[in-house]
Amino acid sequence: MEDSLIALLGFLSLFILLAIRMPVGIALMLVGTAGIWFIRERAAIPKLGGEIFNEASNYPLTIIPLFVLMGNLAGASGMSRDLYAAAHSWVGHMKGGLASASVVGCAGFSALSGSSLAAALTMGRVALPEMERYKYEGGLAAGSIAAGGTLGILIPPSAGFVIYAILTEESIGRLFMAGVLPGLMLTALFILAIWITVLRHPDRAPGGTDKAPLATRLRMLARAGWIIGIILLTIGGIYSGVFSAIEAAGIGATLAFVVTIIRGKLTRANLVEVFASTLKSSGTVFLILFGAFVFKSFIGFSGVTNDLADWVQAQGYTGMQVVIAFIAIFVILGMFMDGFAILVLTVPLVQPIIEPLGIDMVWFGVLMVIALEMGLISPPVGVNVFVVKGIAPNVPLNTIFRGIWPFWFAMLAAVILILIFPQIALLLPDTMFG
Amino acid sequence: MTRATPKALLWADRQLGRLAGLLAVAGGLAIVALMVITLAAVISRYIFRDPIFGTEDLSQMVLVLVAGAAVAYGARHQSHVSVNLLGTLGGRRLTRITDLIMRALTLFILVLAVYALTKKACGSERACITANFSIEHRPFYYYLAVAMALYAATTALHLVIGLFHFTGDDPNEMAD
Repeated sequence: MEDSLIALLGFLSLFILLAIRMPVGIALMLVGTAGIWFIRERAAIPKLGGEIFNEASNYPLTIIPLFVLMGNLAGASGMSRDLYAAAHSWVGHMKGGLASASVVGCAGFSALSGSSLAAALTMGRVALPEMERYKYEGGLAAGSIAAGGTLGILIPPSAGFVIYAILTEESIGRLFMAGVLPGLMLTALFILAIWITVLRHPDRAPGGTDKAPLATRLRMLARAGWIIGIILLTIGGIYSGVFSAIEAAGIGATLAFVVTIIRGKLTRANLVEVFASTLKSSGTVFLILFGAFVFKSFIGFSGVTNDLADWVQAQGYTGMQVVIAFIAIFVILGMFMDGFAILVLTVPLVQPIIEPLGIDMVWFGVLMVIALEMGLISPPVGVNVFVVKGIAPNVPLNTIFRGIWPFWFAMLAAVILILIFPQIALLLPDTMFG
Repeated sequence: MTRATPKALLWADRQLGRLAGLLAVAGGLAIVALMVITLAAVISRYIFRDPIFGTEDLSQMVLVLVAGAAVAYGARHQSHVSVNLLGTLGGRRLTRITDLIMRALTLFILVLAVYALTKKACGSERACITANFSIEHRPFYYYLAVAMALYAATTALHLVIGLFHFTGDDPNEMAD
């Protein structure tokens, strides 16, 4: 059998295994090992054991447990609540202000946690009851949380960027920096989407809080000083070159730990919850990476990427055309599959095709992550929507999906803007380290 | 009608839970160690202007402890990412069959991984060590094998429990 045919069958098998609910990492491991066995029998078992060890001891991956720990400590210490309270006091009185405050809160929390689910869950618990109290329409309230949560994998630290960086051998620090401006831009676009929605349908956000006095607003901002300080220190440290991304993770986690102690929140129950949650989240990433690298080896052995790259070049497509085609595919795949699964499945295939076309892999990474974010809120498998549904059981799923659309289009606008102006993503990485 | 799970299986489940808990404690301590090593490296470099030799070696090996514990503990709590389209579309009539196949295949690759990590471990044929402190890799391969074996045992148990509840609701079926 030809190697490229084996690769094709491998992809087919992979989709079948994913469809029967096999964990993504296990499916990749199984197909990868079987594929290598067909192509180079003697390499299959050593590759399986070797790749598991290589990823488990991959130094840059130190970032994952440390940043996840930092995010979990921010939740346990009440820092995430402070952030929402500060945003609430500054913009809560405006039309749709509570939804905007939720988005800002999610953006801030995203700068401490690399997980979209954690951002949606943490902010949803704080913000949804508040929006319900002020009679916000369920779709707008839940939609703003689900969409705001997606910022978790765009604003650094981002687990998605870490996995992408490991797969493409790009710098984690550069990718983190590349996510900052698009993350801020997307936050602004989400707020714009809320504003337009409320302008067209004032009944969706009928009430707001009274405008807080300046002294109160400043006090709230000061209370959120810990979280803002940690964010500035970690992201600023990476940008200025004072810390590597790994060191920033260690410093950030330590500071979050110290704040948790100072606030008297380091109870036994919190400690168990924080570490259990950190292990579970880190475990999902590690298992996916174990499988991803076995699968990547199989794809490499099959040589199918060379065939595809040659075919694309023979067609005479430009880099931009190919990028747009891939982004469209990611958006469609995102409607049915988990974002991490898409990332590990497609990157080994996509990179050899687009790199020879002169595409900047950092820029492409940002576009890819936003496309995957769109999947997080798209029906039928929009994971963030289901997370928010769990917190707001009285809001029908259809209503939440209806409320999502303005945010989905805001993301599409972000993709188009970054396609047209790559500097939105590349300015910070190109100017980092002085 | 849903049958009660036999006591022997519940006992086995509790024991696996304890083992996963033990690994989680080791993993939690390893995360703290990772934090301390990273912090110490930064403090030493910036405050004492004297970088500590070989911290990367230590971090790498401690990370193995975290990764192994995290994967096994995640398996115990079914937190590993999978795509649950079938549960919504096909219902239990279909998933009871597909889950059986999925678990059997999962068990197969996990057992193969345990074999690969123990028999083909780096160092069994040639010595593999870290760059600075020459820490031997082999014990860490074995540790990962233990973690994967725990995952395999959890899957095997879920397979048997799934068979036992074939005509009713599976207590370990993935939640929507």
